[in-house]
Amino acid sequence: METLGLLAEGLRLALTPEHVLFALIGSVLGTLVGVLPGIGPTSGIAILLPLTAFLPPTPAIIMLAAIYYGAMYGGSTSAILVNIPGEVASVVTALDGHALARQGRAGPALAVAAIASFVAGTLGLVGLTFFAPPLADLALAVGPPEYVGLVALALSVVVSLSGRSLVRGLSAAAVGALIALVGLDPMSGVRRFTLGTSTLLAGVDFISVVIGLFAIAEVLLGVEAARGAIATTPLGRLLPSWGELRRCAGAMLRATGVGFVLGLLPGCTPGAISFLSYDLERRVSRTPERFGQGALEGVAAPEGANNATTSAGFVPLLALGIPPTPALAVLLSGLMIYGLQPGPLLFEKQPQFVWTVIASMYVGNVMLLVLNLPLVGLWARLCRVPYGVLAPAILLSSVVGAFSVRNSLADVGTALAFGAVGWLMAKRGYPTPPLVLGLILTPMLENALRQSLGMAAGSPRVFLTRPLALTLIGAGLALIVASLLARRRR
Amino acid sequence: MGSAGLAGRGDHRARRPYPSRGPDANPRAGAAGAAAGPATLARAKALDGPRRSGVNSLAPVRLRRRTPSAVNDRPPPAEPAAPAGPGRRRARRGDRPGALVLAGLGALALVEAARIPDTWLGARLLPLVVGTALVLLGAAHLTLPPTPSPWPDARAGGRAAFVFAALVLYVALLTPLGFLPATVLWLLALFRALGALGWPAAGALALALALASHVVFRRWLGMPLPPGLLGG
Amino acid sequence: MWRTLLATVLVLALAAPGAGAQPPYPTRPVEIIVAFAPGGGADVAGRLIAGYAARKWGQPVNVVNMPGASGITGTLHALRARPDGYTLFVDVHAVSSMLFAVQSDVPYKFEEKTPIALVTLDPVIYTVRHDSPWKTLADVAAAARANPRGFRYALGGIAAVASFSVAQFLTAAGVPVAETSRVVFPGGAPALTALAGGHVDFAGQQWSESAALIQAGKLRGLAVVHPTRLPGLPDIPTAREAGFPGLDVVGWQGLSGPPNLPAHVVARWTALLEEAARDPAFLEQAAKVNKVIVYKGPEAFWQFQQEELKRYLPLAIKMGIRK
Repeated sequence: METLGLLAEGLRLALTPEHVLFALIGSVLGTLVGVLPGIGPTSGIAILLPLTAFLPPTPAIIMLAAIYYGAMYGGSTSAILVNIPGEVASVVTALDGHALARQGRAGPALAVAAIASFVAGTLGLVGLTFFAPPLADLALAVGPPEYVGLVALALSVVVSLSGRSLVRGLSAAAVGALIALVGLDPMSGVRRFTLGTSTLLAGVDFISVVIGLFAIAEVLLGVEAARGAIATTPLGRLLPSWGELRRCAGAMLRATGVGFVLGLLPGCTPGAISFLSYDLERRVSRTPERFGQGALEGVAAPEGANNATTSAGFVPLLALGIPPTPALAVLLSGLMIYGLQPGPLLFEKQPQFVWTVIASMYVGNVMLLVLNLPLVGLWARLCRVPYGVLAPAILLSSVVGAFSVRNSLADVGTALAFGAVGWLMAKRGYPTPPLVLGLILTPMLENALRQSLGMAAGSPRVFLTRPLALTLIGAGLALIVASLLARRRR
Repeated sequence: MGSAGLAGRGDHRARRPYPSRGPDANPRAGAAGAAAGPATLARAKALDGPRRSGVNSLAPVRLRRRTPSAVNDRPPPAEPAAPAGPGRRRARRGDRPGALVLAGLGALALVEAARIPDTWLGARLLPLVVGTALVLLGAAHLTLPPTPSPWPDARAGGRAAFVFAALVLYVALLTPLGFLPATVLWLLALFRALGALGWPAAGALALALALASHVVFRRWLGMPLPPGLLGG
Repeated sequence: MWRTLLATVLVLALAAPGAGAQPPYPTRPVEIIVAFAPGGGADVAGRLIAGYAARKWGQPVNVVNMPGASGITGTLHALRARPDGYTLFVDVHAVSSMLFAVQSDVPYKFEEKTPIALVTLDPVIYTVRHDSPWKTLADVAAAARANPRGFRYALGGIAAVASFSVAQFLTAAGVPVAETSRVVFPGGAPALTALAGGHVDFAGQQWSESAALIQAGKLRGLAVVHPTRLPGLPDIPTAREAGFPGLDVVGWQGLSGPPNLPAHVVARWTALLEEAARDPAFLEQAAKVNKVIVYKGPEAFWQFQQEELKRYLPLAIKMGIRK
């Protein structure tokens, strides 16, 4: 197995002190960047990009890549502890994760998140190692009509997450969709819903909405209820029991599958992938009612999916030079600064570089697990800090986080507005996850739909001639119907 | 495991397993400890553990929690108090405010869709679809049971309003005052108002947090936080 | 002792004004606003410039990304900043000539800025899938003429290079543009990905966007719009060689500032950038990120933009993309 030999050689090089050091630096920085809301791996990598002038390519890329997958470990921490999803993809983790934190079980939640991230990330890397080139080609075959199908699948999640009132859930999703439409339409250049201002021209920033809806609204509700701390019961055990871990194992594996396959597709937003993984887990569970109330599988699934997606993202990047996410686009420019053009030629001409970087990702994942598990106790204790001290700190990070996305105060305003909206929604009985889902899925849906129609000169026949698209759309519709029927049975 | 009472500074340990009830049960009638008003119950419920809900599982529901006290919660739908006798059919049905808001948004969307200078299959497509959906969903609100307004009592609501107002004021003052001064003042105000720290501790912590943020975000990460009074 | 101290202070106070009226610009960190996300063409150009300036002047020159509204948000922010030379922005075709050709209601005016210099060019490469039956631009032209409705091409955004590059080519080839199937993507990368996947048949994106897929063997370059063949892609003929000498759409990046920028600031920057354009190390660095370095001073730069607008406006109207 030639690949194994190459990987072994890469591993040997990746374990040199210099490379280990840079993997460590990248992992730590990535975790930090992931914990902070608003600042994501994209900015983290962009800020450190000038270092490429001083470092040789291998340690630099090792470090930048470590920031990328490290951020996925960090994003879950703030989502679980203080309901601030540090990353788009951590929104789902916050659902069950924060519920667990409120029950004093932040420790097991954080631990399961770290373990799931490690397992899925590493398995994803195995996929990257052995199957990169053929997978990349498969990913290319997925085009706009198929993306419409994926969105149809994801829409079924809206039905599931609507809670007791389907009407309210769907309304929240529709409102989320409306918000996503605000701004300049990138495909035609027309302004939509901008009310004549230029501030709205840039659209409503997604992270700011999430910060408002989750973090700020949560603080307002907590202050209103005069909460003493995030968790008012004494903390239970800091790590999950073996039984609990075993039950999560299936979730982790399924999440790896979903996350990896969908993560290969450049047009699929990671947020949607974590929702899909969560929903899958809920459907196969024997006790689905626990989801949303603090089910550890509800943390394992999205976290695993995120990290599998992260690993999968390197497949189109390295094999074809197509970065599926903005952070990887910055990483790509880092590669180009060194004159390293990704693609099959890279594998041929610079095998040492490529395999050292890939091997160091395995090392990085191990490091992240080792770094994060012992910190679980420390993080979990944050849940017992008096709310009067923690709440202002949460609000401060919300403000700075919202600002940091586009260096714009307008986004802070968005976060505040949605803080109020989130509070109102809680009072009037509207669930927030569907709004987030509507917000994420609408751009994907619009692009895919309009592109599909463009491909076929406006005729919907384009869907009928593509089997994969048909299958996905059919599956989505079937799932929606199934969810609706199940609600009827109540 | 701590007191079972509902009194206290909010450091509640009440963990009452409520009797599991079917989906049609009126949560107000006869649940243990339901004699207290909504606000007290809200406080108690705020930190309780998960309820076992006996309903069908596909929709994660929190039937037991009366007042949603966390944003992620799927909120309680609560049926209204059932009209006592056959003559009392006039109970108001429908969530009118919700219907109005949603239908209003939908109408706005449709108007905008018509205004957009592009084709119906282009930039107008999704505003049309979403607008229509909103209008229909707004109409559907009229068939919903009205939400019992779980508005907070004056003190609780006042707390939340104060924090929100302080937040808005802070953001408004960021540009004139600058990040560092505004943050220190604001944190100080909140630490004191929320009753967690005395003046020295509040002052010290406010200063520390503000300085740390300034150093990390403005110095290290180069974010253009408003300099305000402190210049460049 | 006090008298010595006083004397020293007096001497220094008297000597100071003579020691140099004002330290040269810049005396504190400079911000270059990039109105696009990190990693993109404008961002790369901005970082090239910023890195060079920081090294030469010893003052930090920071790139600040302010993406949104296809570049309008960040540009607007920069244009409204104080014209003291400490806030500048990367001027790009997409927020200048091409934007004004496509949109009639941009929130700032075309001439409302101080152009400093043109720095990089990003030539257009016309591409098809690697296994496409079309081997030359002439093949593409013939196929498009024969079946315009079935001719699908990808655009990476509406006010972007591709709108004009493909439109210009189709017009030169005698294809009725309004009947072709145009598929718009939110950026160059998704557009080229779709081409590689066979979901569209043709594209005309920039070098920096296309190089990776061409070298990975997924796309075939048919022609490059540049006076000479590009380094690293010696097999791709120029547009002139391919039989279409009239094609001249190009992506570009330069530096500009808010209106009424002081002359000495502009002078310092033009001197620096002119020097950079001759510096072999800088040229090599730029080539690695697939950018061609040119230099045009403020007047020439402004002239260049105006000419572009004159060319693109009728093209946009004919394409039906002007709003």
